[in-house]
This record gives sequence, C-alpha cells and structure tokens, in this order.
Amino acid sequence: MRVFIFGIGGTGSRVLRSLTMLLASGVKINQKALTVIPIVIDTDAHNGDTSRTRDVLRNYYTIRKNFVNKTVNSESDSFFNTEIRSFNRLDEKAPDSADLDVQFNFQNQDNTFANFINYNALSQPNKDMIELFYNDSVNQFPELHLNLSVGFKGNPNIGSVVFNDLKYSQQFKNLESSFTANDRVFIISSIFGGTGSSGFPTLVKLIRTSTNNNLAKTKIGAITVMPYFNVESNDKSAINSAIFDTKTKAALSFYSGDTHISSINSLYYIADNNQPGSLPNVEGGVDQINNAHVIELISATAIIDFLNTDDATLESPRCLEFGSESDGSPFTIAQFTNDTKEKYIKPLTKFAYATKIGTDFIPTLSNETFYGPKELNIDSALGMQGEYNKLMEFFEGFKTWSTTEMGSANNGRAFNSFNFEGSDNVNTLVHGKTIEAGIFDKGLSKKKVAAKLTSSEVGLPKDMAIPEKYLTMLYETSCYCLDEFGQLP
Amino acid sequence: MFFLLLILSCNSGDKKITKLPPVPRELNNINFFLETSASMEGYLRGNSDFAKVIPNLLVDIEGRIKCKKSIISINYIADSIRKYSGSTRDFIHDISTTQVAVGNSSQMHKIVEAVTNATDSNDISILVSDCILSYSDADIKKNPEINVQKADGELKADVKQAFLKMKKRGVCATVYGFSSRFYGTYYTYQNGKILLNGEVSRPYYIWVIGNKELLQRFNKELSEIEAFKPELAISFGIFDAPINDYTLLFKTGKRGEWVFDDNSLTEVSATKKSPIKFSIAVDFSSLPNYAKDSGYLRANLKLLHPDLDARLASINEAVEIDLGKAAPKEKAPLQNATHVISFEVNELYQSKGSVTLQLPLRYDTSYRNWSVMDDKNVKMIGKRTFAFEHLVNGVREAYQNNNENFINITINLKK
Amino acid sequence: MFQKLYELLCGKNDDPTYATGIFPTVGLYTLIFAIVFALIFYLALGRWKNIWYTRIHWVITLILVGIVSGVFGLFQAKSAVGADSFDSFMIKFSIINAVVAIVYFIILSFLLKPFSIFSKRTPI
Repeated sequence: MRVFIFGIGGTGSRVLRSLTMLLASGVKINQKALTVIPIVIDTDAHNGDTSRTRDVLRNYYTIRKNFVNKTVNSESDSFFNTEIRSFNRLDEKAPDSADLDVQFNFQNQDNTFANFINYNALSQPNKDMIELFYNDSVNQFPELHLNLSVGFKGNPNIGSVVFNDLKYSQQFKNLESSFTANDRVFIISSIFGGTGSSGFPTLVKLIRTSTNNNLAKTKIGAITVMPYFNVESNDKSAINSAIFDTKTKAALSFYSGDTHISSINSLYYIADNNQPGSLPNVEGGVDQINNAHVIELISATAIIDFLNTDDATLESPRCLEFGSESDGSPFTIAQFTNDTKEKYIKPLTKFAYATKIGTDFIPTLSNETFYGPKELNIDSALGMQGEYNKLMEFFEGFKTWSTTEMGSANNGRAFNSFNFEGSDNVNTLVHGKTIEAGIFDKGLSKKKVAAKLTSSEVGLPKDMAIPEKYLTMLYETSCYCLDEFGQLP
Repeated sequence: MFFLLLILSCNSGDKKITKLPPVPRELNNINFFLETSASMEGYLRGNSDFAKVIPNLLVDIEGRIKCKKSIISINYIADSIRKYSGSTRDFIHDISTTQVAVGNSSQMHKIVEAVTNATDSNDISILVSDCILSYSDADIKKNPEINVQKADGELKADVKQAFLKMKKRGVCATVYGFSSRFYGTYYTYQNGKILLNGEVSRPYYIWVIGNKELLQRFNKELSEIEAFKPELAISFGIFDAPINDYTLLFKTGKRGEWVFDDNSLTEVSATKKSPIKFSIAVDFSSLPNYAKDSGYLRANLKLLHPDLDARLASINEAVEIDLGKAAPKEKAPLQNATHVISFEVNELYQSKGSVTLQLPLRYDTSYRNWSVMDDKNVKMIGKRTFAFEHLVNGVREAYQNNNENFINITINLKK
Repeated sequence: MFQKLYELLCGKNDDPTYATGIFPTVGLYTLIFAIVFALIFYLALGRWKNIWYTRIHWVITLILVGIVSGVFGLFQAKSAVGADSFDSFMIKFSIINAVVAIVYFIILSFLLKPFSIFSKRTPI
C-alpha cells in the first residue's frame, strides 16, 4: 500500500518531521508493503521548517538504503523499517542519483497575487469586484499586492485561490494518473495559519473530484491542527496569535458545512489550551523555523493510527480526538496513556537509547570486539564515511528535536522526554524514572552496554553487511536497554 | 578438561615389591672345645699369651655375644670330647692352675670331625688347637717320616672329607691365627721332644664353625671385641652370592656420547677417535679384605667383552672421588660405594653388547706363611706350624669352587 | 614427545632424571597451564563479562603464563634432580620453558579466539 501524505504549510512540515522520527524509531504499521510518500505543499519556497523536514527525509532515505536490509518493511522489528519514497521516484526502475524530492512546486511563486490571477487583464467590473474582497494597499497588510513567495501570511482567502491551481501542475497530474485502489491519502494542515487552512479544503476537493476514480474514492485521513502556540506580538507583522482562535472558529464553521470535508474517512483534531511562552514572530522564509512541539508529535501519531485502521472501519467517516492520561506542564511521558506509550513512546525510547549509544558510547569503545577493523570497523566509519555521518547527523537531529526543541519552555507546553547527558551510563535517559545504581550493580553502565553490543554483534550472521550489522546491533542493544529499564514512567 | 585430569593421574610412580626380610636364624648354643693333647700344654704354662687371651675371650664371648643359652658349653677334646661340668670361671681357674693337657697326640681330622658332629644347626663351635697334622704315635714309630710324606695326601684328604661333610650341611668355618710364648715340650713331626721356655712364640689357632648365617654374624661380633686381634683370619664358605650390583654414574667419569637408561647405556656412539668412557660405583664391602684391595683388584679383575672393544680404564676407591663435582643424585650411591671403576669403549660391533667384570673367587693363601714342613729346629722356624698349609688346603679345597666369582657384574650397552 | 622437544631446545643433560621425569612432567604441565589460561581468557571470561578481554589484558596474561611456567620448570627441575641450588642448565631450561609456554598460549589464542565473544578480536 502507498500512502501520500500531504503536509501543508509550516505545520505540515513540522508534523512530517515528527513522523519521520517515529518511523525512524521503528514504529510498526500493520500494512503489507507499506510505502510512505511525503509531499510538502508550501508556496513559501524557502521556508525554514520545510528545508529542515526535507533534509531529515533525505537522511532517512539514505540511511534506510544503506543500513537496512531490503526485506525489512513496516511490520519488521527494526529502526527505519518503513519505506519512504519520493513522489517523483515511484517508478522502481527510476535512477537513484538525484536527491529525494518532497515538495510540490507552485508556478509563478515569485509574483504578486494580482499577477497570479492576471488582475490587469480583467475587465473593470471584475476588477472592482475583486477589490471588494481583497485589500489593495501596498504597504499595510497587502492582499492583492501580496508577494506570494512568502506564502499567504495567514490569509486563506488568497490561499484558496492559489491552491486551486494545483490541479494543473504536472506533479499533481502524475500523482493522479498513477494512483491505485490500494493507495491512501493523508493531509496535515493547521487551521489557524494561511497555507494550511486554505489548502486543506481545496486539496480535499481536488481529490474527491478527480477524474481518476481510485483517487476520488480513496480513503482519506487528515489532521487539523488547532492553535497550540503563540508568537511574540509584533505590530509590523501580519501574524498575530491573538486572532488564531478567531480564525479557527471561522474555518471550523466552514468545514462543518463542506461536503468534501465530511467525506474524509478519518478526521483527526488536535489542540492545546493557551499556554504561556511565545515563539519568535517570523512571517516566513528561512527564519520561520519553529521548535518542534509535542503537539506535532501527537499529530504524527494520528497518521500511524490512520494507517493501522483497516478499510472496513474507514467506510463510514469518523472524527477523532486525542487524550492523555493526565495533564502536566511541562508534559512528561508519564502523562500519556498506556496505549500511547506502548505504540509510540516505547519505540522512541529505544531510538533514544540508540542515539545515545551511537553518538556518545560507541566511538569510545575502541577496545571492544565489534569496534575493530575485522568486525564493524568503527574507526573507518564502517567503510562508508558519508553514510555513517548521515546516521550520526540523524541521531544528533533526534537529540535536538526531542530535548532542545520539544523541551523548550518557550513552547508553552514543554515536553520533557529524554536526557542525553552523562558519559558513564544511560540510567537517566528517560525523564521521570532513573535506573538505580549501587556498588555492585551500576545499572545500564557503559560497560554493560558495551557487553551487550559485543555479544549482539558477535551473534549476527557472518554474511550480513556491515552497516546492517551496525544498525541491528544497535537495535538489539536498545531493546535490551529498554527491557532493563522496565516500565515507562 | 576431563582428559587432562586423567593424564595427570596416570603418573607412573616407582613400584617396588618389598620382600619381607627373612627371619634371622637364632644362635642357640656356643660350644667351646679346647684341644688337650700333650702338645697344647706349653701354651697353658708360664707367662704365655695364650693364658691371657683365652680366658678373656671366653668372658667376652659369654658376656657380649647374644646367644639363647647364655653360658658357653665348654669341652676338652683329645681322642674324644670330654665335657667340662663347671662354670666358665671354674674352667678358667682350672686351666690356669691344673694340668689339663694330658692327652695323646691328637689327629686333627678326627678332632675336626668330632667337633663338627657335635655342632647342631643352630650352634657355633669354637675349637682352640695348635693344628699340627700328625699320624698316631704308633705310625710315626713305624715310619718317622710319615708325617712329611703323607701330609699332602691322606692327612689332607681326611681333613677335606670332614669339611666336605660340613659343607653339605651348610656349615662353614673361619680360622683365626694367634701366637703365644710357649713354655713346655714341643713335639716335632718325628715325635721328637724339644723343651721350650718362652724363647719363641708358637702359633695357635681358633676355629669357629657353624651355619653360614650364624658364622657371619658371630665373626662380626668377634671383630667388635676390642681384645680380639688375630694375626691371621681366613673364612671358608661364608661368601654369599657374587656381587652383581652396580650403579652406573651418569655424570661422573662420563665422556663421549651415551645416554643413561636404567643402569645401562643406550644411544652409544663410540669410535676409536672418540671413545666413550663410563664409570660405575660398586660396593665391595662384603668381600674379604684382601679382595677389596685396589691393587689386588687391578691384578685379578677380568673383563669380558664379546661384542665390543672395551678396556678397564681405572679402579679407584670411592673416597677418592670429589663429591662436590658429582651430580646430586650420584652422591648417595657414591657414599655407599667402596670403589669406582671406569671403562673405555671404542666400538660396538653389533647393535648391542655388554661388558662383564669378574673376580674369580680365590681364597687367601697367606696362610702358607704360617706353614713349615720341617720343624725339627723349632726355635728357628718362627711362627710356623708343621704342615699347616696342607691342613688349610684340605679345608680350602673342600670349599673352593673354581666357577665361583666374588664379583660378576654385567653392564649392557646399546647403540 | 615433550622429552624430544626439550632435548632439542635445551640440549641433553647427563642426568637421566631430565629425560625421564622433568621434561615430560614439566612439558605436560606447561601445556596444561597454557591451555587452562587460554580457556579461561577466551571461553570463561571471554564469554561471560567484558572485564578481562582487551589487548593489554592479553599481554598481561601472556606474561603471566610465561612466568608461571618458567618458575614451575625451575623448581621442578631443582627438586627432581635433588640439587641444593639452581645451576645454569636449570635456569636455561626454565627460560626456554617460559618461551615455550608463551608460544603455546599464542597458538591457543588464535585457535580459541573465534569461540570467544568479548575477546574475539584479541590480540588482533
């Protein structure tokens, strides 16, 4: 099965990033031969979040290609188990040489809205009609004269018009023509921004009115992310978090009446109460790069939930919300329900162990059996410096994502998940529960982890490729660490 | 791991079957016989040494030598055995004061026979006599030269016969020779009488007869008596099996290429240009003194070497060897040895061979110095006894076996 | 077998105790020491916990095997021959025995290495 995941706007990118982390940590999805195809839709071509997501997806792809066995899929026990492909590399025989494409291009992005709709060529009565809907000032909150290259700046009225044009893009046409009955679609959008709130309904309409019956009748899942953060107030900026709620209400009332939106098979909603703290107020471009937020992580779990749902259940459209076991700010793992912990937090914890071990422990364990040139050849980066670096980069990215970003107090609701400090042991990796260490039993010390790494690596088949051995060894050791750790807090 | 333990436990140790020492034969009785023919009187009179030695000897024997019957049974013997009924002290008193030597001239062989017959298998008999072989007075009257003529023949043969019978019973004899000033009548071989008054010392003899084992022990105990200092001592028949023990020395005296293997030589490689040399340590302490002498050994040792070219290189006394240079394990055998004998081998003709060292058993013939065939001029003959040589020859011939060896040592060599 | 080996390396000694007693006994025990040390290093410790398994540990063990074997050979020779002090042949023998033990251990290391976990790549 293939699932096309559209991430619209900044929120879409950030949720896709969280999804990538979940997939990297080996969350299992019960679908045969699952392929995830991420598509970022954003007219803000240089959006910082989008670039970051694109890089992390590309890294995932490279890592999976080199470190994971060809037979591994979303049902396997492995990190990076689920396959991710680019929308323009769906053909098996397509060469691998170019980097993964994740973004649909919009035409004429470096242009004003007026030029986009060819305003000047319109007749005068039409022009007057347009001016009724759109502000035509140049300096103060322009709408007609808005330069589209930085997105819609929170103006869904512009966005919806521009998005409709997607129908004519070559990329969309390709997608449309190759769509099969076995494929699904998932759309991520925020309800309070500009790109998301306009793009989402338009995209749904495009899908449901497609000439390809497979696409028109496909199972659609979507998540609408409602306000979960504030931005610093800035008079000169078009973005004003104070009116996020207002915009949300407006959009929600529109959705409730829309037939296409009602046809979405699983519609997920998520929001968070107003929290203190605010992020920098950036209107777009490379500097619009927000810290990851736990809400984005939870949103990503919606995608997995959708994929785990069978076709029969999805026949009649349903709406879903997310709940945690208890409240807490900062939020911790203990607040999640057991179900959430089992499905999503456990794999992430394993990956956290792997991260810590891979970046901090393994490079220092030069005396261990697995380190040497006849085994994994760690000194020479497994014999593939570039790919090894990509994996380390991914791990470092995971560290930043989970601790610096999601744990930041500016998020409003910070999420304290993991702690990567410490050079002797991983007893304090998980916030909320420490492994006890005494005189004789030092808990999950580096020595103990080293022993597990060695015995795991030595036990792997001789003909297994080195990078695969490396990742398998890490996976087995991480499972062991989690077993030693016991129940999540 | 298990197999290693198994190998360890199979350490071969020395296994010796220890024989229980045989039960020593017990000495039941010591018989003392004093010859009392007239010729003996001269020893008992006056300031004779005999009168000093014999009483002391009796007392020493009775006091020191372990015997079941603690009192010596004393007898006179001339034509027949006359048992003395008193105590030893009485006897000493009697021979010192009364005249006891009143018998006729005795015939040695008869005396010997009587003594041996009276000796039981667990007895030791001591005979004190002047050991002068002689025919009866009547025979001498008929032929005054008869003693000289027949000493070598009938007289000797009679003695030999008596001792042959003894030998069959496992009985052996030792003769000790002493000398004493003589105060009395000396009878020449022609039965002539010469009166001596202590001018010369005349030899007298003490024969000790008994079972081989008892005799060996008795002789040793006699030798421990300080006062017992015989001028002659010859033992007949008490020599045991020939000596065939030796210890091959693996370091001392080793030259050339050979390897010690269980008291033999293996991996021998010898040529005329580079012969091999080896030494053995031997214990000859059971040999009679004359046979232990290095000079005697050098003169009389025979070397048999059928399959190889060898020679006797040297014979040294064990005390001459420098123990400091010997290997630690050689010290014990060297300390227990009397001699060290060295050999040189030039070549082995076959793949293996042996050298055999033999010393034929020959009785000491120094007793001949105590013999004379003409005693008419007794004052001039010194310490010699008429026809003593033939008497002892008779004994010697009874016991000597030409095939016997004192020493019979065989050393094997292999290439 | 051991006898031939030591006679080849140390030369023959006049005292037959060497050929019959010392060489076989010391030879066997030296081999056993080397085997035991190697088994412990690679299979006992090497499969249980990563506490004694690095190259430095191996070198120390190697030296230890050599010392133990050398000293054992020296004292065994002295007592078997019955000497009061060590002579030059004994000292030569003990040094050669130490080297033999070290060679045994090196060979055994390469034989047992693949069966170990933590010492699988020790010394190389």
